[in-house]
Amino acid sequence: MQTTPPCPIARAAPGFLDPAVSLTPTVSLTPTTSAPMSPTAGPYSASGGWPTILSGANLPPVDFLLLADRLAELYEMVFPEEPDWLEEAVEGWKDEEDVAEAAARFLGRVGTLFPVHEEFWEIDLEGIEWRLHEIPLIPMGFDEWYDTWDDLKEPAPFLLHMSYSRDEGNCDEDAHDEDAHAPDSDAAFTALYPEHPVPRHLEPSRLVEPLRRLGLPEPLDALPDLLEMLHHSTGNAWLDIGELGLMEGGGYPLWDAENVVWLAEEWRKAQPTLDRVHRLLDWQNESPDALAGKLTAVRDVLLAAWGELEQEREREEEEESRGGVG
Amino acid sequence: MNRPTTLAALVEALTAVPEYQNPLAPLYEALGQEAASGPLTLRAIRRHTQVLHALSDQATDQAAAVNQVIVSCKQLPPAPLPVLPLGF
Repeated sequence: MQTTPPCPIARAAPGFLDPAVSLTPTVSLTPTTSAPMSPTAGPYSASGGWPTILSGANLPPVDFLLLADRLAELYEMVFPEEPDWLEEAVEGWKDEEDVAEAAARFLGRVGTLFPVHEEFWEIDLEGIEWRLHEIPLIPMGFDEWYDTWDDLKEPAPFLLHMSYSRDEGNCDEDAHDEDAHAPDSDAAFTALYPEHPVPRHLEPSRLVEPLRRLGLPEPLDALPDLLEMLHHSTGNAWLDIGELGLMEGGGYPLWDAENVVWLAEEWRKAQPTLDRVHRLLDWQNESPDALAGKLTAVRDVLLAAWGELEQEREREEEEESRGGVG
Repeated sequence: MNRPTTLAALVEALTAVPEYQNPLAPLYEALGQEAASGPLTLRAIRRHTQVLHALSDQATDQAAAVNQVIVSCKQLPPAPLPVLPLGF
C-alpha cells in the first residue's frame, strides 16, 4: 500500500490569492452590491457604481468573481465528468453568504469522494478563499497527544495506557507522571485498570500480526486495526493522521488533481478498516458491566496473542541454541 | 512668483489629465455581454479567467498606488494658502 502522498500533506501553503493584496477592501474599486448601479456614476462616485457600460448588469464585485473563477477551476479539476455543475449562476451573489453557500455546495460534492469540512464556521472571504486553496479534509486518526484519553471510547484508552506504560524508562514504579498524557508507569496502568491486569512485558503494538492470525470474530477482529491506528502505522494517511496532528504538521494538502485522486483512493481503502474499528469502539458501552466485559474480552485476546508470540520466541531460541550446539 | 499664472497653469494641467479609465471596465463589459445573453455562470467566468486576473491585478496595483499617494499627502505638514485659511 502506498504510504507516501504524491504531495506531502504537511507543508506550508503559499498564498494563493494573498488577501493582503487581492482582497484589499478598496471602496473605490469594489462596486457595492446593494446600491443600484448608476448609468452616470464613475468608479469613484459616492454611490460606488461602475461606469455606464455596466449599467443594468447585476454583476458581483471583483472579489466574488475571483472566487467564482477559482470555484469553476476546482469543478473542472475535481469533477471533469460533471460539466453541468459549471452552469451555476453567480449573478445572484449579493454577499459573502451567497459565496459561502456556493463553496459549501462544492465541498458537499467533494464529500462524496472523501470527508471534508463542508460548512463554514465564519463566513468571510478569506475563510472561503482558504477552503478553495487547501483541501479541508477531516482525517480520522487519533491525536493521542492532544485528546483527553478519557474521552475516547474503550478499548482505545486501555490500549494507550498499556502501550505507554511499556515504554522503556517508564517501568519504574515510582516514576508515575501525574500528567494523563505523559507516558504512564506500569503501576499507574494497574491502578487505572485493576480488574484487567496484563503481564508487564506485554507490548500491544507487537501483537498486531499474532492477533490477525487468531482469526477473531467481530467486533474483536478490529483490534489489530485499532492498535495500528493508535500507533499511526496502518499505512493509510486517513487513519494514521489526526486533525490536530495535521494542523500541527503544517497544514492541509493543496487542491490539485493528483491529491484529489489519491485522497479518494486512500479513503476508499480506509473505509472498511474504519467501519470495523468503529464497530469495536461502539460495542458494549451501555453500562459499566458491559464495558468491563468488553475490556475482559480485549484483554483475553491480547493474552492469547501474547502467548503465541512467546511460544514463537521460545521456539526460535531453541532452534538457535540447537544450531549453536551443532 | 505670479500666483494667478501658476494657478491657471495648474488648472490647465488638470484639465489636460485624461479621463480616468477604470482598469476593470473591459472585464465588466465582457461579463456584461455574457450576462445579456443569459445567466452569468461559473463557466462564463472561467472563459474570462485571464482577463479577470490580469485586470484585477491592475486594479489592485492602482488602488495601492492611490493609497500610497494619500498616505504621502497626509504626511505633508499643513500650510496656509494665499487664498485659503489654514484649516479650511
